[in-house]
This record gives sequence, structure tokens and C-alpha cells, in this order.
Amino acid sequence: MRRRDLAVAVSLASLSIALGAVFSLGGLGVIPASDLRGLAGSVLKNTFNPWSPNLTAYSLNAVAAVMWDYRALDTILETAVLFAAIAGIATLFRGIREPPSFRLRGLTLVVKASTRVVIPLIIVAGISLAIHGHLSPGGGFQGGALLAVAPALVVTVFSVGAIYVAGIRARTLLKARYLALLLIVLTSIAIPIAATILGARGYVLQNMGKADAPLSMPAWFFNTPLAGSIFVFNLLELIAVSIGLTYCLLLMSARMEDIRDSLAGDSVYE
Amino acid sequence: MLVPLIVVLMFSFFSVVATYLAVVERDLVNSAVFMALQGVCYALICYTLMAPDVVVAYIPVSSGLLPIMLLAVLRKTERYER
Repeated sequence: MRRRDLAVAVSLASLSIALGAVFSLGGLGVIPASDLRGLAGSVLKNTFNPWSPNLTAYSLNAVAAVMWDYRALDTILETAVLFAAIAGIATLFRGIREPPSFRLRGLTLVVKASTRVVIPLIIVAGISLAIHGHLSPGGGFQGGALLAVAPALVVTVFSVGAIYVAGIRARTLLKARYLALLLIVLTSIAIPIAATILGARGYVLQNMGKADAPLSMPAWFFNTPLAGSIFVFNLLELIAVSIGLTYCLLLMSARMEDIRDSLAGDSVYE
Repeated sequence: MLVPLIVVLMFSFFSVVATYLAVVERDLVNSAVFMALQGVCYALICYTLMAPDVVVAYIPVSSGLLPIMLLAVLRKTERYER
């Protein structure tokens, strides 16, 4: 049975590789152009360009500039999708009480000791991915996803009780996540509000000053490029994503008895 | 130019094998491991094709969070597919 599965898998893989070779060698499919398109060229030219102050984002990482400056509305919608997913999970698991007593069992001593070494490294790597998101590959979502691996390891290795003992509650996490999302919205409308007060013109999600809207976010932190709102958005997205994924993990690792108890009083599921 | 092509070909081959095995596997814990393997293959392909921003998002999601969440869900349902 196993050998047969492996044979089918290998022949399927050979088939897909052969199809790909036929498409690319024979010119049957769409082959991407080898030269830059105009849009990509203008993004690359302007992502960090102090000599063109009306178009630049002061971000060395062009992907971060596209995500939070040139196409920021797409990323706001992406954040809204994650918000809706986590709101759905919170609704599904509503009313779960936390376990009255914790038994900290976990895995063996070897695994626990090595996890204690790895977890600080994961946390530092996640935070640095987010706050250097405008300088090097990375960003808010990437850093948040990496940071959420740390509580996932804690739940797997030390059991869920360790999270509750550390004083982290699901309700608090949800509130912190809503606060971070609210701050994202406030950052995106900060410039229009300030412009209205000062009597100038400003756009929603504006980062650097434009020809007709002179206000801009801080572009430099001493001698380091800060990229204005890109840095702020990356930091807030780090908090929102890592806390949201930790919240999901905490709900999913609740004990089955607690889930059944919370569903017992509901008439919706009957 | 030849080495990136060989790496992409090899890991796309492995990823198709891992995907098929993840679908047909009866033991769903093994299936989650095959899914993580497929994610690692895709991350290496993305890295070879010069998309590091995708890689740093793909590695924690595909080989960290997704298998752990799947295992947490499997613990509440059944381990073996009938």
C-alpha cells in the first residue's frame, strides 16, 4: 500500500514537471517578460529617492513600500480579512470558561530546556523582522507570524497552563488586538485630520508629502530611514497579527470538556 | 543560472510527492507532517526565485503554526481517517 502510494506520487510529480517543461520550452503558455514593466520600474526608482521628494516612500525595501504606501488600501483590506476570521473564531468559541486548575505536565526535561533557549531567539527575530521591515525583507505580518510561533511552542511543550500561569487571558488578548487595529485606523487618518486643523490638504493613508498636500510623516530617525507611516504600520501589524494568532491558538487548545460546557447552554447548536 | 533551475525543479518535484502523500495518508498526524514538508519545499522555491519577503512569512505559517493548529484540532476529533 505504501509503496503503491509512493509510486503514484512520483509519477504525478514527473507528470507535472514534464508538463511544466513542455509549457516553458514549447512556448505554449504565457512566458513572463524578462525586462521590467513600467509600474515596477517606477516603484524601484522611487522607493528610496530623496531627490524626488513627492514620489518617494523613504523605504529601502520596495515590497514594504508597495504594501504600506503605494498600495496601502490592499493591505488594510488584508488586515480586515484576518480581523473577520478572528472575529468569527471568537464568536464560535464564545463563553468558554478557563480551566479552574492547571496541571503543568508538558514534555520531557530535554525538550523543555532546549525550548527555553529557542523561545527568546524567536521573539527577538520576530520583533526585528517587523521593526526593520522597511530596511530589509520582512514586515508586520511576517514578524507577527514568527512571534506567534513562540506561544505555540509554549503550548506544545509546557501545556496550555503555562500561558495562563504567565497571566495571559484570552479576553485581554482580544482587547489588545482591537486596540492595535484601532491604532492602525487612527494612523491612516492622522494626516487628513492634522491637515484639516492646519488648513491644508491631506489624503487618507498618505505617507510622504505630495505636491498639493505638504504634510508628511517623519522620514528619518536621526540618521536611519524611518519611512514614516510604514514603520508605524509594521509595528502595529506585528502586535495585531501575533496577538490574533495567539488568541486562536489559546481557544483551539481549550479542553474538550470546557468547550462542551460552554455549548451546552446554547440553543443555536441543537 | 543552472543551479537555481535544478533546485527549483527538485523541490517542486518533492512538493508534489508530499502533497499527494498528505492527501492519501490515513493517519492525519503524518498528513500534517507531509503538509509541513510541502511548505518547506515551497519556501525554498520562493527563496531561490528571490522572494525573501514571502519566505519569511511562509516558513512560520507553513511549518510552525499550521501543523500545531492541525494537531490541536486532531486532538479534539479523530486521528485516523476512515
